[in-house]
Amino acid sequence: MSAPFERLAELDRLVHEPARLAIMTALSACERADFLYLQRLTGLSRGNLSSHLSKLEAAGLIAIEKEFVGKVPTTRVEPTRDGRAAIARHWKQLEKLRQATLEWTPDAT
Amino acid sequence: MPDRETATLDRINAVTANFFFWQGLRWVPLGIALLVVAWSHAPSSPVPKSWESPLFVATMTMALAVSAVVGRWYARSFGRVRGIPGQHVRRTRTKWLIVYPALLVAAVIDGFAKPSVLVSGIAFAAAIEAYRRSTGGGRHHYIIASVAFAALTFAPTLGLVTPGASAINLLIALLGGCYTIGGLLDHRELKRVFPNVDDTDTPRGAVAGVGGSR
Repeated sequence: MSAPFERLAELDRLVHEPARLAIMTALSACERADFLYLQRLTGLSRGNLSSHLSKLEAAGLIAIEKEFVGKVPTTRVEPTRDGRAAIARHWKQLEKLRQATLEWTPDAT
Repeated sequence: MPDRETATLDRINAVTANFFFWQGLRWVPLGIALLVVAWSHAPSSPVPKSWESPLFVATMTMALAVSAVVGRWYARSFGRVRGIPGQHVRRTRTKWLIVYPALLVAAVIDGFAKPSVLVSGIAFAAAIEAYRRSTGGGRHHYIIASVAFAALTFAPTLGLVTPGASAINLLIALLGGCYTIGGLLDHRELKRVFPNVDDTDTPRGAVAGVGGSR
């Protein structure tokens, strides 16, 4: 059995990055959210949030749609099926890792 | 990942899934309307009997209109979320098939049978706790509200209020207070979950409680 910290390498770093993990966690709880909601929720600046969303979009984990609500431009963000699967898998891995850490003793390796 | 960060992410998940219910200021106009209704029906109220129904309709209509305006303000200030269709089927079914009928039956018992305990008190206490748990947990002020409603059950027994209309009026007043104070505290909780946006583009962002951005 490998030490729990060795399993950290198995985590998807694209999703595990704190801001992106928060974004994907929020998106996993809804059908879609707009840019403002994600910005308010994460506290990120527009530039930082755009950068994280671009990375997630490039990886196929989210879809971004721009449209006008009246005269106001709105950016809507929706997790893809792969995105939902990725965040669910990630949380499962984190939970297993947490459990393994709680049960781990140096002698057991 | 530290438990504190996991808890923050759990909270992000819960708030997003129940965003509508965390928009506390939406409930404040309804709470004030209920307080006005309770006041107008109180024995010492200067409101003439013939004015009670029009006042009820007017305050409720105004409360719904103000609540809609507040809802638009939330959308402009905090953004919009669309829930997953069918995500809360269990909650919706429980609400319509168990909670609302139970509250109605309790109100009928209190209104007509006039028992020496206020059945609606314990029914509302259970309903408020079910509401708190099913809309994302946290918000401990609702536990206090539940305890207050449970205590109200025994108000007629202790002679604090006469069973029947007076007891129900007291219940409506407490419900109004619960909506008003609970709504204000919900809004405070929502603001705690949403950190202040730092809109200066620095290399590090700020996801509240979830470390820095890389």
